[in-house]
Amino acid sequence: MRRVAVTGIGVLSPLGHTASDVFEAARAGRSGVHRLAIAGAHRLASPLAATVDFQGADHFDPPQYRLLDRVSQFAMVAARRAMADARCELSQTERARTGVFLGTGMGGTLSIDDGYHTFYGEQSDRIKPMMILKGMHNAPAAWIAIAHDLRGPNLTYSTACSSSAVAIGEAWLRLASGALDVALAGGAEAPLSLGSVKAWEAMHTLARMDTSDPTQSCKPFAGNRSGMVLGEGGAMLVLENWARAVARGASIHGELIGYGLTTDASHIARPSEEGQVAAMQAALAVAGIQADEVDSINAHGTGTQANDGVETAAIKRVFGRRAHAIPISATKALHGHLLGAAGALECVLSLLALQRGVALPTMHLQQSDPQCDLDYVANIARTGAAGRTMLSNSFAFGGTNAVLALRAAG
Amino acid sequence: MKTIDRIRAILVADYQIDPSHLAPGARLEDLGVDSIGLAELMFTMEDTFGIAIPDEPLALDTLADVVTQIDRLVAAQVGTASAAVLSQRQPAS
Repeated sequence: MRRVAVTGIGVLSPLGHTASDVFEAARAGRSGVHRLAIAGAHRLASPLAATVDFQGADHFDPPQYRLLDRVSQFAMVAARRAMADARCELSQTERARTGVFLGTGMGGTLSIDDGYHTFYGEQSDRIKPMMILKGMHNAPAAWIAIAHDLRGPNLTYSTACSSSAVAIGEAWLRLASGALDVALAGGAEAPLSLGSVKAWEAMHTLARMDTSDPTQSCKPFAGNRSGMVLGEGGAMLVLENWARAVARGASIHGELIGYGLTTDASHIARPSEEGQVAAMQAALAVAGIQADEVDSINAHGTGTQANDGVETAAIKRVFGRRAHAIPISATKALHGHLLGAAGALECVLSLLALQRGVALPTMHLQQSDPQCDLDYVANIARTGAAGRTMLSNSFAFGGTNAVLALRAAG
Repeated sequence: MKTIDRIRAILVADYQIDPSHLAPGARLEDLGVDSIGLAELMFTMEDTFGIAIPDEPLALDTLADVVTQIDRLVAAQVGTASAAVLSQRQPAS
């Protein structure tokens, strides 16, 4: 098995537009959650979201911009930044076997929503001709390939909230096997249409607004947690064969050492402790490490009643008594739940946590829950606590559990 | 404003095509308007000229071809008198 380096990072997130900004916001506990200001927001019980300060027209020429849903804009800008960060020159031969692996849960839902609003809501037949091309799930990955002339595998994964962790993991498998030497992998999500948010609300998964401070509404692992807050954004990584990266003197952000993937095959939405345990154990096995080598964890930590209790129990099953000594970070409290892009953003935060040695805080954790009794790094970042090896958990509706194992570079 | 000038204005604004390239004989493909771009252009033409472009193949190789077809459809669907009024409308955004 070949070693895989992360040599490029590109992000657009509710916490900022550079890896450093995102990490510093997460370290300082600055929330990207706020009241959602879209038309019709008064129809939402709890109009909250974590949005990206981003105008697509600033990043693309008008002819191309009109072809791009916001999710593709996020993916393309994140990929552009990741490639620039990697400073990775690719020959024509290498481009022919460089892949793009992208996760998105809802694809171009804003364009689909807009088209159906025209057709059903306005009773107009004037649906724009680009609706399908903007809305299709594989558009973001396809546009990245076009922009960078990457002619290897171009794959889109849609496994709800684990989509981009799966994308990164599947890319890693190909690099680890030697099938590819370089890949762009990550995720993008732009789910914040009124109809989409209302649909999530109908599932009773969204957080109640904290009226004292709406930015603190998402409270993972807290006794008073009430759900998640939807977020948007994109995060892309350049994964590179370790030897290639070293040979060219690349700056290596960290190493991807394993990937566990399991399926609950039980309930469409209810998390399964068995499935989560199996995914973490699979990541450890694939990485060839023991449970006691894991120094810290980035939890899926959505802030829903169901997830946080089950994830806590699963971590205890995997790590035994030592589970209480492992710092666990749930950064969704700050950047919201980016659904298909969540795993990629949290992978970025995990790599930076390892690089800088800082265990990121789980914010808004004031009230404890007897069911959630591990060390969640409550409210204050912990310098020197991230260690050298991390797991990043992503669990999804549909039952797809993906766990990435990461190691500090060097 | 003449039909060709209104179409030129759209091609300049939406497709960022240099006006000096927009001679009547200019081929759409050479201007970077591919089949997908043409579908979008037709959508804009419908709004701009108040016409419905039939779902059948049209010979649209050059800018002049587009002008000919638009004028034909306007004459058939809107009528000469109202076409003159329509032609004063600003292009739809």
